Amino acid sequence: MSAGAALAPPAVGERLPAVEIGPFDAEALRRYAQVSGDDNPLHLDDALAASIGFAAPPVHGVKLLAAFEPMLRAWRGDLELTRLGGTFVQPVLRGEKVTLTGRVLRSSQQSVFVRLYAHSSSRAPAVVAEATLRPSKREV
Amino acid sequence: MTADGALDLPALRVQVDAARAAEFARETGFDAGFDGAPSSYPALWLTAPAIHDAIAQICAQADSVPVHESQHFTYQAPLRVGVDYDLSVSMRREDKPPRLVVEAALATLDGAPVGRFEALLRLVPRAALRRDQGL
Repeated sequence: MSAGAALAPPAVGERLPAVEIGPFDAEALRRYAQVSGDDNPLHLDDALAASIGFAAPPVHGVKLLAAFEPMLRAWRGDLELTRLGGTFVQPVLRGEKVTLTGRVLRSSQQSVFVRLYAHSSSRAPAVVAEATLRPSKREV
Repeated sequence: MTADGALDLPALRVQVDAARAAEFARETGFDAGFDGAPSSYPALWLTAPAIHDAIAQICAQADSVPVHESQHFTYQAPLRVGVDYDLSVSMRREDKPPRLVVEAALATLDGAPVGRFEALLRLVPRAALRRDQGL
């Protein structure tokens, strides 16, 4: 499909298909730390995590935030991100599954605003995020 | 850092490295065939020594540990793999609650804006951690 054959913008209220990611093991967190350069030992060191009350090291927040982009691309490949942001509300701990969800809050031919959440299985939202998308100029 | 708690770093020349972008994409759930630049890739630049060391110094002066509270990436133009950009980074302190705001602006070498990024780091006093740990 080319950029000229635009799809209709999503409806306000449309829910994105939920995506499950994880659980992330120690090796996954080590790999992410290596590629990202985020060497905060809190994400890798069981003893340090335990010392501040976590049952296991928390997953890096940006690793979770970044995971919304492939979810958005799978949902609407004809749209591209112009803004992605989020607040890390609660930690997701190593070994926990995470469910990513989203809902369209505003939509027009020019711009789509989506509210996004990352939930672990046991707690309130871990990441509250938002994305703004626009019709893509790339071939999809 | 100035008396008003602001710090501007010299601009950094940066590039989305194809191999590193592919690794980052793999670790954050992109399809195996994705060969572009993830929108959150600039988070990797914020761990560059010049920025990392400045943050570490501010945290040490505040006797605090940084906790990543929020992160935003905003684009005026698509981020491209293998293209040189200039990244301008500034930091400022907020007191209530204690935070470090790291803001970055990405531009092409001829000055056209590409994106803006913001990381909000909560500064948690080490004394509070020691108290919470009963130390």
